[in-house]
Amino acid sequence: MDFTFATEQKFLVLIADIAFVGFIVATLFGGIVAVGARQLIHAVLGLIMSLMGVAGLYVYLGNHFIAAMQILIYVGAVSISMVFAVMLARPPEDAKAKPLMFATKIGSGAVIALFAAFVVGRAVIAHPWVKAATVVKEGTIRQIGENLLTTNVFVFELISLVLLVAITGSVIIAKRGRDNTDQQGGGV
Amino acid sequence: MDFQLADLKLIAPHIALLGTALLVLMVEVFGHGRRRPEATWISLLGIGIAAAATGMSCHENRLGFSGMLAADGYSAFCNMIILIVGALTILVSSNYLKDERHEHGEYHALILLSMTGMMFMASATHLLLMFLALETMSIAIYALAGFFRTKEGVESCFKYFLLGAFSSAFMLYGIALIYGATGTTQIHGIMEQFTQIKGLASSPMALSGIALLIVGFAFKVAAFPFHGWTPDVYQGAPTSVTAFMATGVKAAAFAAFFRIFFVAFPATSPVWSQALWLLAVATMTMGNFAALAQRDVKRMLAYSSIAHAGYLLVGVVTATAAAGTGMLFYLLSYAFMNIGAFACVIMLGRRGADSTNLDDYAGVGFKYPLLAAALTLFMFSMAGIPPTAGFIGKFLIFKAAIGKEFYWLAVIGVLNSAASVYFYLRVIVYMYFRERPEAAPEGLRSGPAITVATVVAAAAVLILGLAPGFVVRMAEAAMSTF
Repeated sequence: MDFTFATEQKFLVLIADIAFVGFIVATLFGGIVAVGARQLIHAVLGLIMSLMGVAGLYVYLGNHFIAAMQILIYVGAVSISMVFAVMLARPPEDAKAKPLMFATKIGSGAVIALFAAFVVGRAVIAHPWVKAATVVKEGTIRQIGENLLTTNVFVFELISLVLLVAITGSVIIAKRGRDNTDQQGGGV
Repeated sequence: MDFQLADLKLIAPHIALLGTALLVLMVEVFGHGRRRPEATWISLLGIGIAAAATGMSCHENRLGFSGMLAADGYSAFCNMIILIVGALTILVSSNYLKDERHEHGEYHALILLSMTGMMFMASATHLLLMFLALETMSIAIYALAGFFRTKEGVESCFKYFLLGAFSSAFMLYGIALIYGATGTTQIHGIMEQFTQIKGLASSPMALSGIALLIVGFAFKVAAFPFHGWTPDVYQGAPTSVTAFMATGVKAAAFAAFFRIFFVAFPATSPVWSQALWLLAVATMTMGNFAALAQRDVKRMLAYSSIAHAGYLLVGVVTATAAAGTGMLFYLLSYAFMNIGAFACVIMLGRRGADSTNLDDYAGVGFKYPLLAAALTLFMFSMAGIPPTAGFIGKFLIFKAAIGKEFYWLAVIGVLNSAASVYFYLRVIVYMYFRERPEAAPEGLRSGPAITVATVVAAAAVLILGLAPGFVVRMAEAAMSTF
């Protein structure tokens, strides 16, 4: 497809192109960090970076809603629970002792990547692509936002109550032995 | 935008409770960790204000906040049950918390917050609001279950949390499917869609949505086969919290269950009433027969609470105004008899050792005659023996079932009640016909607040049993406002 832009927009297009490359780099680099990091927490951070990059690519595909959901669910919820899991589980001491050989890593990575590229590529080529009948309206996020603040404003406000209860509850569960002077009944 | 300031009147009771919860938290913060007994009184005052606000808003009889919630007689009656449950729980907890060295304001704040969620559930006419209210209630109760941080308490908290999160996901999926099928999550709108669109009542999407909703509710009310968490959670949680869970959560969940299925899904009722029929029969039979084998009173009460969920499900299966009346009356009387029974269990316990084994009840009848008399009354009521509240409640529900020609359901229910008499009476037999062992600990874990709660509960069980007319008429009036 060919796009033509007005001259005054050329600069903006350039920025958009640079950002696009940035997202691709973030996706790939994050993925490499996620696979290669020795510290588990670094791997999680790499994964977050990669997922953010993917979210950016969704924006370029014109689906802002999926992009927002990607950030909300994967970058937000899934990664946070991974961070919790990493922090709660003590990593085994000898985890660092036996890293894979560098060549083994590259080799197995390349095999898996080629396999994935083959499968996805075949599917993409085999699929009879047709042009979408209608362009996705740019208003999807807008509609959700408007709905949240008009018809569903009550539910939106009630979420703050749920969060308040969750914070109170987690603080009570998390704090230890406050003024429970003798730990006879407690001690967990 | 469909928001009027007048709508705030509909949620005045909820706001009162929420404000009280925040106040209790603040008092705790500025109390610098000293023991603050006033949390009890502030909470009771807040509950009183909420009750007054409920009384004032119950004649509104309209929907508010773009059809999100209703302030009608039904929600007012459920609110009153929840407020009574909350007030009794706080009274029962007062001495218990002091004795266990856990007299923190957060406990009261969590009770009030979860009551706010329960009251929103009772008045929700929108599936989203219902779901959020359910989460508000549940999250507070997860924390309460682990409040004492004993090994069993934390286990109970964690089990309840994991399975509760799982069931919430089921319910949310059900709501999403119903939204997909009908295009709305407002229950009156759903009902209109079902009447307008032919074939929607048999569409797989709508039916699977309803099925998943049933799973979510069945988990919350501890119905077979989603009851697996109940015995462990009820046994491990602090006894006062167990009483709150067994009565409050049940009242709120059944209130929402009945309202949603009665208003939104009458078009599909032949399908779901069959499923719920099986669920009701399995729940009461399983609950009663498992309770027969228990030697731990707290665990026995947990299984008995499953059985009571079965009786209440009969009301949802029948889904008529008469069944709703029976269900409301049963929920109210169950609140009194169950919290009363747990209050007696608390009084017989010791710090760090709940002494809930049946053997600990041997000879209690002559050592503490008043307490034994109260516990006997509560056990009679749970078994459904006249002249107690439990009998009237069962009578109303089974009568409604027979009225809609669910004969077998009523017969199985009555047979189950007869079987349950055995394990309720066994407690009484232990109290009056066994020798008290020499080594039994002296003294009761008693105090003015818990005594008041027990006396009020016992009086209510008797009054509701002897002169139920007034409350039955109130419940009928509540059902007529749908």
